[in-house]
Amino acid sequence: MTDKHYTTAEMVVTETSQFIQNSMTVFIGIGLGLLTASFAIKNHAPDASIVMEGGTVDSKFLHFPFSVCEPRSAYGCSVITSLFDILGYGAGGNHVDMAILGAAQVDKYGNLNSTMGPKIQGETIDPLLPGWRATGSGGANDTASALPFVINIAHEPRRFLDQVDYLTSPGWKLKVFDKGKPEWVPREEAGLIHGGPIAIVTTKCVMKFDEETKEAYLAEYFPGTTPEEIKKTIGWDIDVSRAVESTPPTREQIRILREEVDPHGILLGSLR
Amino acid sequence: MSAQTIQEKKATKVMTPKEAVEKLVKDGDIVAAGGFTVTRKGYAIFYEMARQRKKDIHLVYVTPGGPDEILAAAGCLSGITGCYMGDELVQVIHPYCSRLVKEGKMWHEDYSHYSLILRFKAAAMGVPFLPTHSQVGTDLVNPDYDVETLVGRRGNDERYPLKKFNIVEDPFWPEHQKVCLVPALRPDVSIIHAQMASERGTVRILGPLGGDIEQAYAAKKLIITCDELVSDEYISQDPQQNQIPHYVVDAVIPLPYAAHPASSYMKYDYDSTFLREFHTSMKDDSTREAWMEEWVYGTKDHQEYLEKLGSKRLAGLMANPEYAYNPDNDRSAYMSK
Repeated sequence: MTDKHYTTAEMVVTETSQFIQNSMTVFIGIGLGLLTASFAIKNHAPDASIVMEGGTVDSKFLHFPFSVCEPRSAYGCSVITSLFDILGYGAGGNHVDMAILGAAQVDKYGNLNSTMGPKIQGETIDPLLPGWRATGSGGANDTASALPFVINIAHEPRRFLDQVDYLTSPGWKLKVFDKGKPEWVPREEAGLIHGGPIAIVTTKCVMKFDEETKEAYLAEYFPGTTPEEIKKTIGWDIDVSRAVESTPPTREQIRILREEVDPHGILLGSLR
Repeated sequence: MSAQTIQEKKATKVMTPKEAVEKLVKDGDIVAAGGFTVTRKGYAIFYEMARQRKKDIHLVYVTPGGPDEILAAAGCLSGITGCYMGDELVQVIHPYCSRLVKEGKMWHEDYSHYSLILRFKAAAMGVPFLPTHSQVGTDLVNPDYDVETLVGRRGNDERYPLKKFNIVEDPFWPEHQKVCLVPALRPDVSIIHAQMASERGTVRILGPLGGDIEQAYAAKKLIITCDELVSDEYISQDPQQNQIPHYVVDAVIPLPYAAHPASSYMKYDYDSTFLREFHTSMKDDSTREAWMEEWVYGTKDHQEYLEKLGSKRLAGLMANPEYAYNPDNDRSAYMSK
């Protein structure tokens, strides 16, 4: 077993950061996405802008924030405003280029569940007696409804489902309820003409979405695993024929993460 | 917003947390909590609601934070309408509230973040609903998950809309795109912490606003806690800095560290050590009850609470104006190195 100079979390951050191009405006929630965006700005995208839903534009935090709305997130901003301005004008009005979102579950169409699930997998949910509760949508549904987005999720088999238990944030095939029983229709037909998932970066791989079928396929696998191993952990029949091995982060990139972005290990320390 | 007589308008708005909660928060109220997790949460008012054992409260919020756990621990809450049951990195998901929901002892209605703000905005504007692309195509608009219907709030209580949402086709543009309409949400009372307010009720908030302006205008009654109470002449010297006009405000409560353990931008930082102990205590019945005894019921008011915290702890939270927080604040409770 080779001694890697990086942790899995650091690999996820550097892989996800590749989707942030210079001068992009990126919507970020609290957590890994904030590490990713800050890293991208220091590494290759110095003109990128972070917007966060508390009401901050261009956060240039000196000390890692615990919240998207706390004073550390407001440091260095070009504009300090309100939630409505960020989610309503920024995301809804399509002024922001991309979002990075996390979730508890994802399905083959990039639909996300961050709300709740049944007591037993596959059963219907009783919302008054859910089997499990996650936080809820937060701003995830709002940004996913309007913007292109990249998904971060831990690579545990129970998270990759053919159909999510509860559809919180919209991917490429959505639910409509006009006829009593839910029907699955393409995103545009449901009413969303903008945005949609562009990639899923997990702790083992990167998936992208097929142009035709809109189903997630394996694009990259991290060093230390194989496409076949990954296929066994996915709850749909995932195409792994196009997968290539990811390039690990450089030592300089790890230095930036550990010394500049999160020197106290607030996030990097708890994730391995 | 409220139909005040001339006499009522002239009466002072300045009062204590105890008076504000006694006069303005009733059992069964729909209560909106302003602020955003560790930013400007009016904790002092929520502690007082717990002390006064308010009942059957329906909490609605933009983002919660610890007050949800405190009100639930005091048995105040019947249900929550929200979008994020946690305290961000300080506590990823609320242990006690989520447990109560799973056990069927408290209900939780889900909306997206923006849809909730739009609901407050509609009420603030006096219109019955507002449109959005949010929620379309998802289980947030699944009729089976309309929790306020399932628990019998609709149709029996004029404060509640008859439906959770409505999907319509846009009538104006040739694409006739489907959009989601969300109904107005008018809380009985909103509770917001600001850095400054005047005696007459003009309010100045510093730092990110979150969803506070909408929640201020939407409410039937508005309670403002403030770090600084000033004269109307003083606050009017810089009117560009003020967001909420006096005629929307019902109570002004000047109170040092009213938002503790949350932060007040430019005034004081959040208390990481306190937050860690508080959130951890909520996980088990015995530690939760002990924590409530010690910090909520065991302090008769905010003054006693501050005395218990002690001057060293509070001084350590004071913000540096160059940062708007304390860069030397001890956040080691959440650090790995």
